[in-house]
Amino acid sequence: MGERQDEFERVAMPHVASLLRFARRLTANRSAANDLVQETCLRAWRAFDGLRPGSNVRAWLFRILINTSRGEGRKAKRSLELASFCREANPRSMPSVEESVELLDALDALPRDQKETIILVMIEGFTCREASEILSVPQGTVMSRLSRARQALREELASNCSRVSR
Amino acid sequence: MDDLDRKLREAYTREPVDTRGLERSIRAEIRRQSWRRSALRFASAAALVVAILGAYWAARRSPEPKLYRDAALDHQAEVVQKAPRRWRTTDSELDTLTGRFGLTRQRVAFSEYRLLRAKVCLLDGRRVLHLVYSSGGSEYSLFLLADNQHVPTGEARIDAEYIEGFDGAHKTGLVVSDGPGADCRRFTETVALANL
Repeated sequence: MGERQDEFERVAMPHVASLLRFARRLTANRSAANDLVQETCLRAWRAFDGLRPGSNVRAWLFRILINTSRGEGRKAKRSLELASFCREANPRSMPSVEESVELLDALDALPRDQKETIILVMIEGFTCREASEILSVPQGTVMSRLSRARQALREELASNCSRVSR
Repeated sequence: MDDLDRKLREAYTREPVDTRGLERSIRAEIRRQSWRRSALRFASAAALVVAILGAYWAARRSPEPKLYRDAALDHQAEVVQKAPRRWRTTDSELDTLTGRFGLTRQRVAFSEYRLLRAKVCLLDGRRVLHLVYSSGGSEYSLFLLADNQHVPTGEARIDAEYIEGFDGAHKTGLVVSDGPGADCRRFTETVALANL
């Protein structure tokens, strides 16, 4: 393996799992998510020589993934087959499997721009500034999308609960 | 971070992802692309070397086409078609002009060939002394380059003109004629024997 490949392996490949989770939320199925991540990594590999030393590789990879998915017109859609139901949430416990499915379904139901923002900031831990660079939008837009996304998630979860309890 | 954020994060990261197959496929594709890239670089380098060698070989083998072409065009326009030019024809003018090229009028006078006129012109950007001779019914152009300029020797026919390059003891140049090649060769031999 060449020096360039070793370096790519060291700095980029550890992020494949995060990229795949993110891609699964943006694409229709797992196969499409795999394709998206593979294309992202290959684009990153081709552009790797131009990456400045000290750059935030993780943010760079997410930006490539976003651009790739936008360019290819992929649609965010997830198809989990599990039935969802609501149960009383214990505030300090791990969410149950069912609750997780419910949360992810609610996440998937968000508009794409809100979903991208909430995953990058709340889950992947990017700062608003980093998310704004990844998504190519102003920081203020990131913050307002985040706020709207949180509100929409709460409403979606509340409506699921009331539907199940009826 | 509020409870919703925490739970969402846990739900998101709990979902299992098996990246082994994907990583294998990415690595395989990267290896393929690296190989292709190396092969492409090697092919480009090889093509460049071949092109350089080809150009070098062509330059060594064939006369300078531009210089030869310019000489043929000059002869056709100025000698055959008699385009109006400011020629030097008197002895004193010819003395001055040949002197500028380190020659004398006597040194460029050849038996059997009568020096008619001369002027300075440019061939392929090089300053050249253009001398016109006549013998019988034919006219010949002799283009002499300034000192230390090399002309690849050889012969060529461009349109109706026959051109022959020569490399003398002190001077290099071209002979051009619109007559038969044998006549031109004879004139070239005469010039060569003069040991210019």
